[in-house]
Amino acid sequence: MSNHDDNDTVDRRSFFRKALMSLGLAASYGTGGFYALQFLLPKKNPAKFRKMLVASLDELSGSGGKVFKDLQGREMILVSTTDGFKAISTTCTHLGCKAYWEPDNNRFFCPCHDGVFDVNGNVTSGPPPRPLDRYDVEVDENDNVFVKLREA
Amino acid sequence: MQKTSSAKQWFEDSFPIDLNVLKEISSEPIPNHLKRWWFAIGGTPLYLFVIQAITGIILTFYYVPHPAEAFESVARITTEVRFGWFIRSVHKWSAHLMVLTLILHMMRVFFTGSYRRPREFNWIVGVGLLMATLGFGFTGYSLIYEQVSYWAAVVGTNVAAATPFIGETLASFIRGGPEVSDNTLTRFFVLHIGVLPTVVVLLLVMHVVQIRLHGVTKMRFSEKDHQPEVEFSVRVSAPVTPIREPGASSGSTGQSEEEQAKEESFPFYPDHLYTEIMVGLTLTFILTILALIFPAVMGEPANPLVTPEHIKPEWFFFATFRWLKLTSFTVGVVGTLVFMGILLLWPFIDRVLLKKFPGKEISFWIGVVGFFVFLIFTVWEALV
Ligand code: HEM
Ligand code: FES
Repeated sequence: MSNHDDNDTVDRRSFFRKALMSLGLAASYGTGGFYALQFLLPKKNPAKFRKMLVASLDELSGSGGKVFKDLQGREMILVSTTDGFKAISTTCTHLGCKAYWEPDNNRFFCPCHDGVFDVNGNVTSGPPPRPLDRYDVEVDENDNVFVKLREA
Repeated sequence: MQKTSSAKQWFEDSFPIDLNVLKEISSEPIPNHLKRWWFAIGGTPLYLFVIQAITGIILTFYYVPHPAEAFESVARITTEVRFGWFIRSVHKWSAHLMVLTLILHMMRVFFTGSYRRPREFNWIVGVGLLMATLGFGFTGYSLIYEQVSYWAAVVGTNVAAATPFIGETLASFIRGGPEVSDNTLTRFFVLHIGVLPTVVVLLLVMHVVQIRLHGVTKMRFSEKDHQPEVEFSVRVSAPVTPIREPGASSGSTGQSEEEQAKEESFPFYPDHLYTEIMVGLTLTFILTILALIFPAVMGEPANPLVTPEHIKPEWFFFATFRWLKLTSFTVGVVGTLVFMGILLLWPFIDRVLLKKFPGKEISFWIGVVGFFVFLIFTVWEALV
């Protein structure tokens, strides 16, 4: 403590100096940190979809469903549900393992945590929180069946 | 000018260190109970971590962190590189032992109440070390790029993705994209050999500084305290009470605190160091035997298109894995997070419990139940 007359002014001045300095430091390192974070977080590209021919109607009549591969090579299955034809993804909605289509039991089974889905993709037992993803199916005038699939 | 440029002189000039200070720093008095292995087990993960660092660096000379080559490079280390199989096996077994001894160390700290004031902070640092070590286990398992590695990465990052609020960002940071892809292996590699080692070293420095600042918690085992042969009783919580807590006087023997401390302790150097060296040798022996009898082998290479019918994580995730199977999705993930939160904040939760139910040993029983649930879940998952 000094017995200087304008103690107040000095205090205020040093306070402002410190405040400005901290602010400057925070702003510059903050910006740097923000850019570093952007660098580390991957870009989100909007998903692109493409129509793919997967079957013809005659193939589907009678049979339980048709297994095909999506654009990443993963198994999907085309089934006739109560809302018409649907393509069902076999990526388990629990934690992302691949469920198997078990034609004999007419169900999907996920080996990771024993999730079970019926032919419509609805959960019948196990921990999955929601039905398997379904994709819309289009049938054109020549009875060709198309599915809109996500590109890699 | 005199020529006194002896090697000793040169050394002293270059490192002007007061040897007495060094002696004082290194002869931290260690309470007698650290002669019981149960109390000194904290040194074991430290030793194993050093082994991990050495074997890990050696492995990195041959490992290729690319999805197309990772599996092949591990296979090459295992079958072609001279002593590659041995280094790999030691790295693997040392990792298992590190987690195991960490659990033991944590239990000893827990059941002796050594996390209590003023050591709350060090408990939190410890939980940080545990998480980082489990992170090592998770990323390392995936680096091999076997089937189980790949699918463990899928499931693990999806658990992270389900974290409330920050989950998606966190998961896409770890994976390097919206799902496990080629980027993921690079990120796991960076985490495993760069980020996590740095974090662990920093946390370890904090841990050790805290231990030096506070000293290890002193214990009184029973009235026959001064006989070092007293068997450490199993009912830990009641007869073992930390002494030298702030404000507490140091017993009724009439000795000054200092005299008493001397009688109840031994110096870090050389006594405790020798103990640790012996522990280290024993560990080296155990690791060698394990590596010889159960060497690390190769599984099936990763196939992103097919989940194998039997997938299992490492044993230390068995309990979590079982829990995820038993509960619904949200309960499964949120429960795991809540458990981690409780572990992290335990010293403070314990204080509230102590206040609410004085003298009830509630914390002790929570610990017992917690441990047995962990054990039962782990064994259950191992058996099915
Ligand atoms: C890499 C991991 C770790 C290493 C190398 C390590 C090492 C050590 C060492 C050498 C000690 C001295 C006393 C003893 O040997 O028991 C100690 C004490 C302690 N550790 Fe750890 N530890 C680790 C992880 C943990 C974890 C996971 C926790 C708890 C969540 C923890 C909590 C504590 C606490 C609270 C103390 C003080 C105990 C006392 O003063 O009596 N540590 N640690
Ligand atoms: S990932 Fe399919 S049941 Fe858990």
